[in-house]
Amino acid sequence: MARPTQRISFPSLEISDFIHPREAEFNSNSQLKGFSGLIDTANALCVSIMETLVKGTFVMATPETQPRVYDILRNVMRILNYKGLPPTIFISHKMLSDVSPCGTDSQYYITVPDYVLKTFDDDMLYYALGNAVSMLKAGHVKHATIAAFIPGNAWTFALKKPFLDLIHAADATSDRGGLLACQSFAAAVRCQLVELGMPAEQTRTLFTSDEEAELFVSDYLDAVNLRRNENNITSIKLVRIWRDTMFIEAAGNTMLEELWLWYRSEDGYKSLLQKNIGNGR
Amino acid sequence: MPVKKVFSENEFRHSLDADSAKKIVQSSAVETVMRIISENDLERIYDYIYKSSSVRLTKEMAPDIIDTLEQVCEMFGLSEVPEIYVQWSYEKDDNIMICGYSAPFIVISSQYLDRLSSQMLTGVLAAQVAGIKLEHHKTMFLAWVIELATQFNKGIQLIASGIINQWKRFRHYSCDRAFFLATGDLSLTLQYLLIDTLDQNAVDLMHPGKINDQYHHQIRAFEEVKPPMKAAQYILTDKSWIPDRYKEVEAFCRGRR
Repeated sequence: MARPTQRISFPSLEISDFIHPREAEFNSNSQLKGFSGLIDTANALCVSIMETLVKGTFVMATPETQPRVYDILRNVMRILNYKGLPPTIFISHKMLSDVSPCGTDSQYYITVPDYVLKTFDDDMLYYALGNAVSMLKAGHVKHATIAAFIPGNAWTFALKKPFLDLIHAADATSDRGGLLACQSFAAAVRCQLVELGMPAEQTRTLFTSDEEAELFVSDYLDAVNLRRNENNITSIKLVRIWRDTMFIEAAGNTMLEELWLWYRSEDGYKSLLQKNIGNGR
Repeated sequence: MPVKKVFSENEFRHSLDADSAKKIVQSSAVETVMRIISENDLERIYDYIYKSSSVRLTKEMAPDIIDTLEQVCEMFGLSEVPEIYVQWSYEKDDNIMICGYSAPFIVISSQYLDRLSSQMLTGVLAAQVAGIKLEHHKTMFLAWVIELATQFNKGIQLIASGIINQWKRFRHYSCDRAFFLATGDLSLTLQYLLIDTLDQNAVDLMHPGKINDQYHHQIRAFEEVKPPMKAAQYILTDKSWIPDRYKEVEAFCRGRR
């Protein structure tokens, strides 16, 4: 589908408009239901522990010192109809692509690695910040923060698993939010490829349009599925269980596939765009 | 460039970067421990960890860097110019380090070196040379030995780490003063505290040391962090708190006017 020439806003966008069905189902049946007070308290404790590190070693960005980032953040909030207080941006010195929100309802932060600021173009930054703002909008930042503090071992498996199940489902929702914010499938795929380990500069050589990106992902997933079918199905399943238990991030190729399917489906991304086509910048 | 002055330790040693650390290093008990360590080649192992993953810079390879290093050694009265090695690392903690015990050396990351102007490099090397002059490398080596020796008793390790981590933070105050003395430039000294996170354009927009210094917002935000949580991090990590260093540099410069 042709990319809109100007980014479209979604003035009445709700999470239910783009939530992944797995997350919606999880929200209905979660083991974490009924523990919201405890989760809020645990999150507040985690955030207060991190606060010294964030404010003491990262650099707080302001609209004066990082105008590009704050302009994009403001636009993303408007595009995604996020009505909360603008989060404060902190810049860390890391060679990572994780743009991570954290905080409490009274104040949220988004930490942005300097690697992202140096190597992401505007479209990619729209995606990354859109992903982060979607997490704030969906209300699962707290779960991600708590999960990050729970060590991953056999003793904590039972405690950590419900958080990871939610986060892995929620990742797909926030990826959709990122795409809605940037409205460039090519940029969204480039961000996913950076997360999979490719240098940002190199992703620009792979494709230049959304159509090319769609074909690239299709070929990539064909190759992944071919390897899956060649290998022992049982061992693949075991590896996936191990992976989903040990890592906060969901498997990169799974996330790419989820986003690609939603981008292509008639009642997904395209439908939302069509409904709001007159709402330009 | 002729060296204008030789700075004495009293001009840059911070009161919290105590003289007591140097006295501990020079005590007979520590000398005995270090003799045992040397006889068992542990110092060589420690040095090898760093030297094996980096490249030594020589005058032929990097004449400007070596010349600057020699000049700052003269400025701080360090008679033996330490070796300098470069490695690739994107970790902030690896940007620049002083290592070794009996023969200290400097390790700097290449991506950090790329960010530094020649004036900034003078200050950065001055900070390390000052640290060597104050024998920080010896105290850090001993800290490493203590952390190894106490790992089987987590309670003692926690207490030891808390004390060591606080000293590791305070030693930066002395090194930052040396940066200022070597360059004579408050704004540059404050930029030095931000340059490992931001590029120069972004640092310039912070207006460090000027009347509209944007970093003061963060200093206020850091002061508002709850004391018990700060105290927990003070014990658990050796990371230096930039807001505290920023205030210390500003106070030092005000005191010299």
